[in-house]
Amino acid sequence: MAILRRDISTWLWRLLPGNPIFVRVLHGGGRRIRHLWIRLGYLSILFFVMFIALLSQMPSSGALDDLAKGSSQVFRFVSIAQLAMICFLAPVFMAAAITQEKDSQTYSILLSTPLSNAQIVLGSLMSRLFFVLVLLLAGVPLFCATTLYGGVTLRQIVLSTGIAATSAVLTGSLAIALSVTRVGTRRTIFSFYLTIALYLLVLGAMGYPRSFLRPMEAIRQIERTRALEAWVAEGNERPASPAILTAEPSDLHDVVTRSVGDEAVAIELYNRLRQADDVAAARQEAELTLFGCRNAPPNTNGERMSWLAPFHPLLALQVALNTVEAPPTAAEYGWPMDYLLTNPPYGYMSVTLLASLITVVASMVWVRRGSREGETSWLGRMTDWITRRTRYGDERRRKPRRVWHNPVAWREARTRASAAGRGMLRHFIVLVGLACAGVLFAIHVTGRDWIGISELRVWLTGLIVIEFTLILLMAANTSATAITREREANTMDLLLCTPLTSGYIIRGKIRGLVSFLIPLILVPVISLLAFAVYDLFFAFGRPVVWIEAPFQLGLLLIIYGAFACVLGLQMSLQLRRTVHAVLSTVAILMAISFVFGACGFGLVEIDESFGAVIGTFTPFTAVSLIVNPEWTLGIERSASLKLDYARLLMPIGTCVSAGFYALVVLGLYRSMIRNFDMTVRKQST
Amino acid sequence: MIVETINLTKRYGKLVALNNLGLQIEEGECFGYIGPNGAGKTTTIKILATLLQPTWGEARVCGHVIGYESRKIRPLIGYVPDFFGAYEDMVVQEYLEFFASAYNITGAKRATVVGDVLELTDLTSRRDGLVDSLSRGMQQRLSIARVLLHDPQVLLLDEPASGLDPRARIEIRELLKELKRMGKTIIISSHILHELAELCTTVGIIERGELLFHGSIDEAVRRARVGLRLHVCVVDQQERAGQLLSSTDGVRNVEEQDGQLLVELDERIDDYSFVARTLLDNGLKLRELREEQINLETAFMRLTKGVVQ
Repeated sequence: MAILRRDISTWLWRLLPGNPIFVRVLHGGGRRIRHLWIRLGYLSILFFVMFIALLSQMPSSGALDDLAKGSSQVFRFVSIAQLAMICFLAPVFMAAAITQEKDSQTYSILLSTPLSNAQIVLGSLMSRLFFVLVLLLAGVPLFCATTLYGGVTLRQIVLSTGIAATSAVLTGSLAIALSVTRVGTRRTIFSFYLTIALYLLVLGAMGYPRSFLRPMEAIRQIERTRALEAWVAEGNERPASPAILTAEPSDLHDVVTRSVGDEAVAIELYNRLRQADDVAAARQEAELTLFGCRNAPPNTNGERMSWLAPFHPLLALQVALNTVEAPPTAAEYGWPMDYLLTNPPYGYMSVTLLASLITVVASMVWVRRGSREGETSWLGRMTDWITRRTRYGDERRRKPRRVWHNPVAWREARTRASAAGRGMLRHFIVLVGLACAGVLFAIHVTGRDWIGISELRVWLTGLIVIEFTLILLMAANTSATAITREREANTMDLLLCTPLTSGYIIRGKIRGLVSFLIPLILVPVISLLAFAVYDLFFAFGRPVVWIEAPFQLGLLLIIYGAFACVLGLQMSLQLRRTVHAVLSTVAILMAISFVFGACGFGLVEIDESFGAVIGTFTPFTAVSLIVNPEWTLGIERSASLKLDYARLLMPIGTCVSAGFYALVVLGLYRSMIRNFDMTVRKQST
Repeated sequence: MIVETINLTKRYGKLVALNNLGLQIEEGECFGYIGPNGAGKTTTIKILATLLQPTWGEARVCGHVIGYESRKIRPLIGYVPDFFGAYEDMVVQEYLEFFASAYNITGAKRATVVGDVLELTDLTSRRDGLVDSLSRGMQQRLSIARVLLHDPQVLLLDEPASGLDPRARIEIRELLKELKRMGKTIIISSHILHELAELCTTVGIIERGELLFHGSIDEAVRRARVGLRLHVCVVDQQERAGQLLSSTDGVRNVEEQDGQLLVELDERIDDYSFVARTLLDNGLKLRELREEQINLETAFMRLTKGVVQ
């Protein structure tokens, strides 16, 4: 028994604390200067967010209750900032694991040692996770500081850190799984973090509009208002009593009869309002089925928890932070949804850890199947079929394509950017984008009873924002890899030996990138154009989008796309490694889009005229402003003069913004051409 | 001179990769560039390929100075690096058309040129094969096909046979012989010395950035011959024979190697009949006595060992 106990403890010791792969990272990783800088940057951002939140949220009065509320708000801001950073950093650090072992060909060496499958997988996972978990631990003292004024519980701190940590664990497990199956190539890195970004964005967007999940009374009021407007538009007199909009269905008949003198008219109005009630009921049912948790109580803003909360870190965090409340019971959903919905933070952590466990076990099983490497898999056969390739032994063949007059542009557009995975992804995005816009358009044309113009506009804004984010991400990734990949594939020297000049190479790359991005940019523009043209001929009153919106959006998408491309190329030129170039580009774009965007949203609220011009300078405020100016500028429905004025100023702002970014793009482009030879040659030494 | 370097020096920080290198290569010459790893061969070739700037000194290709007239040089050279730069998702024909476009060969001429080089390098049957799925030998042939597209005057080949199997090596060697017959100037670095001896008219031996020798292979052999080396074998009394020869006048050193005696004679001695006489006079039965043949490999070993400076 003692021997067994000793063997088990030795096995456990070697599995993790004494795992040589992990120990190597523990010894060296924590002392690397680069990691210290990242840790410092991470803590600085958290501290900055906390400082800003303290300034804006803490009350001037010294009442303990107010201090606790302020402190709670500060904690919310810091928690969300922490989760956002972990969601960005975890895929970044984990993605490198996908190809590192393959690139340095160290797997074969590891597999030939007596290390067990579990040791290899867990060692690799923990060595990757170590840095992210250390970051999380470094932030804990900052969280503890927020508890000084009360309003924040230890449970909230644990949940907030736990949600971030389990997200990192799942990301790490997926990266290791891709690494051990050896399907991961450098291209997989992009697909990996794009998939994670898409998951977070789409699920977050679906779960976030909880304001749709209003209580029945609110929906009923909206539908009755709409029915009443239609009734008045037909030439009927508007009833004086506002109670007919809020009355319970059982009292509605009496209220209508009291408000309308003529009995026949009262019956007609009553029937109309009952139809509106039916529409409201159907609508609530649909909304709840799609997004809502039926039993979740609304918060003070009338918002309710989405059933997606246990599957998305930010939605789960909002429950942990008491922004929305979980339902006391969700028995009608059955087990395990009952547990997950009543405890979304724990539910999220459980689901994530379970998924991680399954992935890790699968990786352990797979890790020594290297003997099958090189065999044709069904995935390989499918890829060959899609890319129209044939195999002759190890050699793969395909019909040659015609090379353009500018070979660099051709390569960028046809072979690199459109290579199997990315080409398919582009088609997928185009098709899904058009399909979603088509659904919204069909609802607009046929189903106005179900969704109002303003809500449709919100959905359209959401769709355009997601498409715009994907365009920026794809532009950033494709351009940031343009030169580093040449270096890594050893093709840069071959290009430099040809008579092609640096200007020709850069121009070729930009031209290729533009050819690649144009179909993606056309999707949101065509979507908006369809709405604008339809509304121009068939809509009465306020259309979903103004006719000038598609043109403004097109111009801004082109210029922001060009900015992302030139920025990516600049990073690709300056930095040696693809991963660094991509991450730097994405980080800069995120800073411009989100940080400046947040400032932009704050600025546009100051004044409509100012906002209409300044809002076009940051990508997301610009999209929001163009598609949904009322909401972005906070203009009320009745203030049509203000809206007209804003419409007049927006094209001016768009042109000024486009001009500004064009100058930036031109400056970067010229600087790149000037420094190309020097930088590339310096790096080759 | 089609290629000339004058006091060519390249430093990477404190490391001197090339130190006052002076090379002169005539048109149509096949120049073999030999040296141990890290000697400075790739650096020299990269400078000649306009990829690196010299820290000091001058290099000229076809009369144009590198660094000042690099744009004029690039159409005149063809560079094959010591690695294969494979573009993903590109087939052989696209690869060649891509580089043909880069050399401004367009239209109908491009198709003709690509067809010609495919035929010359025997790759016509692989024109639709993806370059990253080709074997190492095929990739190397494709590299050579690439540099022939624009019909350059000077070919710079950095280890073209490294990592190839014997068949592929022979095929590449035959291809290079053909190019030599076509009148191309070839600068080739390699570690496979007997192949260079077959191919090259002149060689340069470099060590630690310094050119130790530059001239014909015969001259290299002559320079390496610092004294005759004899392989001696006697019946039974090998040790006694060694002692006898060690004390004989004109013998510099005697070593036992693989059951034989390796006898080094003084530089001035051409006639080694006295060795046989000494052994026979002392009653030893001579089984073998032969002079060691000096080839490029031996010359390289001697010259780079510091035997001759």
